[in-house]
Amino acid sequence: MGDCKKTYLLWFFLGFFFPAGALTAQEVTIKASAPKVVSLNQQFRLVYEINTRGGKFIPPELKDFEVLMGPSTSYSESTQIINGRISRHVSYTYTYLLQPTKTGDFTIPPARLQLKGKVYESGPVKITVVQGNNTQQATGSTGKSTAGSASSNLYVRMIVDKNEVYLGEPVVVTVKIFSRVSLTGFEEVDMPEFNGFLKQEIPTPNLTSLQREYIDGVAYNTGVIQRYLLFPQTTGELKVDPVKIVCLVRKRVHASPGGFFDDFFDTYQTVRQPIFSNRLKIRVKPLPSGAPEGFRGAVGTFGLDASVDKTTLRVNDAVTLKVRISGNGNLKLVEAPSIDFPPDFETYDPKVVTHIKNTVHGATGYKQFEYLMIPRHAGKYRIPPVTFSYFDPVQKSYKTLRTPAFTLQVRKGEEESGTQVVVSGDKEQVKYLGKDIRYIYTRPMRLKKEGYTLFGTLFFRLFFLVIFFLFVLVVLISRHRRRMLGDQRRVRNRKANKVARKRLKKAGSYLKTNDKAGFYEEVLRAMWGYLSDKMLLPLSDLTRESAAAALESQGISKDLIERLLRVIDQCEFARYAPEGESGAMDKLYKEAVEVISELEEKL
Amino acid sequence: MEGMNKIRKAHLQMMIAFLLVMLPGNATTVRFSPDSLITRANLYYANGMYEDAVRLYREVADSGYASAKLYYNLGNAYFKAHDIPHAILYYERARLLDPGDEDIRYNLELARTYVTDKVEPLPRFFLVAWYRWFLDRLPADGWAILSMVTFFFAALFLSLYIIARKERLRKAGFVTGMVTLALSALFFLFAWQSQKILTSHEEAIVMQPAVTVKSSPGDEGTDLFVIHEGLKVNVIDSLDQWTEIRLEDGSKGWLPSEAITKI
Repeated sequence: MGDCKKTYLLWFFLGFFFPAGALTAQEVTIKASAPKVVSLNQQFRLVYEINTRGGKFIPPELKDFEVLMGPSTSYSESTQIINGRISRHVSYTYTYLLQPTKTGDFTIPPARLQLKGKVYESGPVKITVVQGNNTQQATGSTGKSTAGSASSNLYVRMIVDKNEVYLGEPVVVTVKIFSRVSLTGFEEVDMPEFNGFLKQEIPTPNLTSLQREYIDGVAYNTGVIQRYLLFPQTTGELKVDPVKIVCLVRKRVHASPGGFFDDFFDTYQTVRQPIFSNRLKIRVKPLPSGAPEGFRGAVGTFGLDASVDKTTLRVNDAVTLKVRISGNGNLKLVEAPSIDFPPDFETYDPKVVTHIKNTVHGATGYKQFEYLMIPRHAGKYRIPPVTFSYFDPVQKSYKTLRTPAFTLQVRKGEEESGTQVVVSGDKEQVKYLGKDIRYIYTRPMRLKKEGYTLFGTLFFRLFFLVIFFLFVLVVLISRHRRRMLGDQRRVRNRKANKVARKRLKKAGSYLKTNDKAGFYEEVLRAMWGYLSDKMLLPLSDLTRESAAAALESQGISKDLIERLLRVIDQCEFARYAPEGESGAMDKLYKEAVEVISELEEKL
Repeated sequence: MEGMNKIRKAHLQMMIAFLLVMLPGNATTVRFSPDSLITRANLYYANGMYEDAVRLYREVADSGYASAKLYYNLGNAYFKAHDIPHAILYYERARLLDPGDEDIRYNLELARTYVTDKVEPLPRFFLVAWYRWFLDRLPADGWAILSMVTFFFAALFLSLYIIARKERLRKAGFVTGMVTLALSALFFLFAWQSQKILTSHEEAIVMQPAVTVKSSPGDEGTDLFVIHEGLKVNVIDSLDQWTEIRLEDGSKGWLPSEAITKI
């Protein structure tokens, strides 16, 4: 670029001194130059040379070739003054570095230059691409035509160990230089961006001396510049741009042709020569389906190992679970396996110890995860097996590794009983580990017709009706019975006086015959019978007191009750008395008749 | 591992098939009795073959039988088969038949957590809430039976009041008779209300993944809101192919009738 600027500046000065008109008289030409025959793996230059400045260069379409570099522009200019006549030669060159992609005859269409409304064309370029004598995949190196071009004497290659890999399967890329010239060093090594890959450098000793190697019988000095492990991160065809190395090459320069000292004193000049490597195309296949649960993209061959540092411990003691994943593969991307710790454990994020060595056989080493756990309660706990799944690209199958489960016996801490008293209020809720619906009802069930409800059915209505009618029946029967009972009483009431008088008459006849016992007996029966009929009380229930209470409630005066009771008392007394006078009997008879008559009036 | 599992599963299925054939009533008739269908469905459910369990439970339910437990089991099978709207529909149907059943309520609550829409129900007047709570203690038939029993006792006690001679017995008969009669009337009311709820079908479940509720019955109505499967709505009215619904938060709108299924 710096060169370009310089030339422009120069051009400016020259343009200042020399009128432009003198120059434009010259005819504008574009000349294309390229080798006519190239081999498939050979890089070559396509150069367009334009003998004027300015204008817009329209490059040709280069669809059959891969453009490794370019177009790079350079400018040169020479001025001659011969006999006062100034002739100037200007040349602009556009240079492409191309590489064929397939064999055959190809025509590169003309390039154009637009200048002051005119379009100038170069001629088309015909190039025949022939099969090279060697392919790069076969030996990892490239056959070169032995034509004296600089690139076949000095080239750099990116060599891969495989072109088709699974996602995550490493590719070893070796950047190697092949030289038949005297190489003094590198000025600049531009490694490409390995897009789509995770790049890991394989430690490579500094290139101090080159090894001699024969390729197709031609001796080359070779050296490995750098090795990489590439772990593809996406699927598809991944492309890697060429490596660019600017080599310092010592070249012999003949000081002056035919000079005297030529044969003895060659002068050497160090030339900067940029070289480009091939491009890489790597097909990355996706991993096959059927990945096991817990697969997180580990590819390679691995081993799994787990251990706990103690199996019996006290509450609040720390215990460490170490899980080590060792082997060969994309270890760097291996994630910590998730472990279902007992819910009562306090756990922390694992401490990760990584020890990985990148070699040409891939990344080997181990990754160790240390889980620190602190049980907060005593008991027997089980740490479930740790599982680790990976894809084995050699066997093309998924593998799952599993450690044994660990059982931890956690005893109560010594001081815990003391603190327990203090924190006794700090009870823990039952921890629910999962939620699910309750189980189905499995016992035999009673099925009903859909839409059936007891309410409103005939049975339901009939039940109420029947109960109601039964009740009505009860009421009716009860009323009937009561009426019947009422009639009976009325009859008894009506007959009470008659009956009493009948009995008193009988007592009167006993009085005449002077039958003492018969007389009192009959008076008593008359009195009690009358009371029973009138009060509607059964004879068995009648006592002096109940009779008095009943009479009183019927509004009979105390005086009359007193007289009635006296009659009864005298009768009772006289019945069992040994003797008595007939005058007393007479008096009692009169009194009884009087009392009954008075009661009859009032009741 | 995979192959092993497959073989084991096939083995299990064969065993189940064998057991199913051995169940009584299967070998001879094509139409199975509902009880044997349920037994088979339970067996399917127990072995994780939920789609088959759904099919058999549905066969029983669709042939006109109903039971809270049957709907509950069917809801469970739907839930396990990841058909949440149907699960909710049958849980709701089961709950209508037996509102007090705790398992039904629990599973319904759990199934509802899978519903996209969160609708804040309008607060009910506390008396209504109490009344509904009380109503939910027993299924409709339970209230009906209670009403019948208390009516019987009311008649008994009142008869005692009428027949008895002794004043104390009569008094006791009258008081208890009147109380039981009042209870009977109350239970009768509950039974009537429960039966009304059961047969009115005024609630429905959204069965389509997403439904746009319109302001009027017809496609040209303004879009009001979108509800998702499993949500319970109240049916207010219907017109042609459209149904007017109300959400529990009170918002109303029309949606195509085929988007919902009445409980």
